[in-house]
Amino acid sequence: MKKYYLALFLSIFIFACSEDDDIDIITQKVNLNVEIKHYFNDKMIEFDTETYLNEFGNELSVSKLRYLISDITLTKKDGSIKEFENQYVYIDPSRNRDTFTLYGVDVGDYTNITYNIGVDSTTNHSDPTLFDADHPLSLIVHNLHWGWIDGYIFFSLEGNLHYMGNKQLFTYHLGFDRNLKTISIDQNYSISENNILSLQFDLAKLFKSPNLIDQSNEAFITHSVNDNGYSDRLVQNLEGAFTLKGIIQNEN
Amino acid sequence: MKIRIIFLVLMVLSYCIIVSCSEETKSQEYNPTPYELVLPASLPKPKLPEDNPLTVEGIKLGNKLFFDDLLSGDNTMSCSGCHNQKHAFTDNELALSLGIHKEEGKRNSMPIFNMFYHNNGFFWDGRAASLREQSLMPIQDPLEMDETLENVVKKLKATKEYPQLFFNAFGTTEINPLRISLALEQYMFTLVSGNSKYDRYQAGTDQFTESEKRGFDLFFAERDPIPFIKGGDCFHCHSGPNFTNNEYMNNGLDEFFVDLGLGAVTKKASDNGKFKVPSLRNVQVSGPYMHDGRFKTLEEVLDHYNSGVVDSPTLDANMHGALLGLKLNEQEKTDIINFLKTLTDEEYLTNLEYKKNTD
Ligand code: HEC
Ligand code: HEC
Repeated sequence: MKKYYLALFLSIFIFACSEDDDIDIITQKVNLNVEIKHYFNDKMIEFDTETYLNEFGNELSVSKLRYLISDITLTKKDGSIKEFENQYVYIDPSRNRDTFTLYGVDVGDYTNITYNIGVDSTTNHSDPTLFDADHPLSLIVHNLHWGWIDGYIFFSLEGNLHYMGNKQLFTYHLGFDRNLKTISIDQNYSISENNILSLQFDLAKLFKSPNLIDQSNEAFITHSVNDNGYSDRLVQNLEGAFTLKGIIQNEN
Repeated sequence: MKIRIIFLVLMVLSYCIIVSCSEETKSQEYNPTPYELVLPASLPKPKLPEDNPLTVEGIKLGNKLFFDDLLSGDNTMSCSGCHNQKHAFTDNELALSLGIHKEEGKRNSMPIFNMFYHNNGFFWDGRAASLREQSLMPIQDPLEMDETLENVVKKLKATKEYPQLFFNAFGTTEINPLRISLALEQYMFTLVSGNSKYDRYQAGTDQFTESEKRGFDLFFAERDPIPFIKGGDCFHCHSGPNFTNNEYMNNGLDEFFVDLGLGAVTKKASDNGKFKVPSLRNVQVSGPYMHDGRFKTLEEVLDHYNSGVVDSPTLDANMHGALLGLKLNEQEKTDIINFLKTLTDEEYLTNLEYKKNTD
C-alpha cells in the first residue's frame, strides 16, 4: 500500500514536471520588437539635406516618407501562422517613428513575414475620428487621409527633383482599395528573447523594378487618380523595396 | 530636578501632539477631486500626461495663475493679457503682442484650445516640448512678462491664498516653478473646442448653406493639374479633427526668411521658414493671421493661397498646386471662408468655466 502511494506521488510529481517543461518549450512567448531602417541604396536616408540618384538618373531629395502597415503575419516552420489582426502601424522615419512591437510571439523558427502597406477596405472607409488620439490610424497622429469616401493614403512620398540648378516638387500619395499592397518575404529566421526583427526599406528600389521609373517623365503630383497608372506602377515596385535583414539581439 | 525632567517630558509630548495633530488635519484636507474631461463625440479621446492627473483643485489653481498679474515683472500683466477667450485665447487683434514694457514681441499670439492633441511641440517654432515647459517661458521672456521664476515663487508665497491653493492641488504648501507649470497645464487642458457648426454638421444635427458646402468641398479637394480640377489642398496640412497635422511647414509666405522659425531651433537649414501649422478651429475670431500677423483678414489669407505663394528652398510639397496658382474665383474664395467660419465654436468662446474664477 505504501509503495502504491509512493508511486502515485512520484508519478504526479513527474507528470507535473514534464507538463511544465512542455509549456516552456512549446509556448514560450516574447514581445518582438520590429525596426524598419530606411535607405537609398546603401545609405540611410537623410531627409531634405541629401540628394540621391535613382536608377534612371533623376536626382532627388526626400522630405517625407510615411506609410501605414496592417495585417502582419508570421509563418512558423511547422506552417502555423500568427496574425496580428488589429494592429496598425504608422511609420515616419523623418520623426524617428520606425519601430513597433508585436506582442505574444512564440519563440521558435519561422519561414515568412507578410504585411500590408495600407489598410483593408472596411477600415479604409470607416470613420477616422473614432480612434483615440494616440491610435496609429488617428488623424491626430498623421495626415494620411483624403476624407471618408477615398479613405487613407497608404504610402506617401514627398520631395524635390533637382535638375540644372532647378528644383521640382513632387508628391506621390498612394492609396485606394485597389492599391493595398501585400509584402511577403520568404526567409528563415528564429525568434528568441530580446530580439529585434530588422526590416529594411530601400527607396532606390521603388524607382527600379519591375518598373524602371523616370520621375521627370511622370506626374509630379499623384493622388492615385488620373496619373496614367503611375501610382499603380509605384505600388508594384513597393514589394521589392522591403527586405528582411535578420534578427538582432537587443542590447538593453 | 525631577520637576524639570517632568516639565521637559511634558513639553516634548505636547510638541509631538501639536505636530501630529496639525499634520493630521492637513492630510485630511488633501483630498483632490478628479476632474473628468468631457469631450463632444467629434473629438477623439486624448492621451493626457499620466503624471499630472486633472483635478478640480489643480484646474482652479491653474485658472487663478493664468489670470494673475503677479506672474509679470511689474505686476501688470497675466497670461490672459495676450490670450483672450473671446478671440480663441489669442491677443486682442494685435499682429505682434506687446509685453509689459510695451515693446512688440516677435510673433503673433496663438490660440489655446484642444492642447491635448498637440503631440509635436508648442509655439510657432516648436521650441517647447510640453505644455508645462511652455507655460513658464512667457513669464521669463523679456518681451513678454519679464519676470524671474524665483520672484514669482516669492510673490505667490507672500500671498494669503496661494499656499493653501497649492496645498489643495498638490498636497503641499510648498510653491515651486514645476507646480506652477503643472497647474497652468491642467487649466489649459480643460479648454475644449468641439461644438462648432462643422461638428454639428458632421453629427447630422445642423445644415450647411450651399456656399459652406462648396467651401467644404474645395477645402478637402486636391488641386489636379491634368485634367485641371480645382481644389484648395488645405486638408493636407490643416487635417484631422483639430484641423492641423501638428507639423512645422513652409506655406510659401516668403522667399527670404526674416524669422527662421523651426530652423532657428533645430539649427538645420532644411527647417528654415517652417512654422507650426495652426488649427483652423475658431480662425474667424483669432486674426490677424500667420506667425507674424501679416494678414488682417481671411480674405487676405485666401489671396495668399490662391495667387500669392512664393517659392523657397523649404516650400512644402503640398504647396505645389498653390505655387502654380489655385485659380479660385472670388465666389470660391468666399465659399472657403464661409466654410472656415463654420469652425467657430460659440460654446468655447463664451464658456463660463474658462473665465477667471472669482470665488
Ligand atoms: C505678451 C503677450 C503674451 C503673454 C503675456 C503670454 N503669451 Fe502665450 N503666446 C504669446 C505669443 C506671441 C505666442 C507665440 C510665441 C512664439 O511662437 O514664439 C504665444 C504662445 C503660447 C502658447 C503656444 C500655443 C501653441 O499652439 O503652441 C501657449 C500654450 C501659451 N502661449 C500660453 C501662455 C501662458 C500659460 C501664459 C502665461 C504664463 C502666456 N501664454 C502669456 C503671447 C503671450
Ligand atoms: C503645406 C501646408 C499647408 C497648406 C496646404 C495650407 N496651409 Fe494654411 N497654414 C500652414 C502653415 C504652416 C501656416 C502658418 C504659417 C506661418 O505662420 O508662417 C498656415 C496658416 C494658415 C492660416 C492662418 C491661421 C492663423 O491662426 O494664423 C489660415 C487661415 C490658413 N492657413 C488657411 C488655409 C487654407 C484655407 C488652405 C487651403 C487653401 C491652407 N491653409 C493650406 C500650412 C498649410
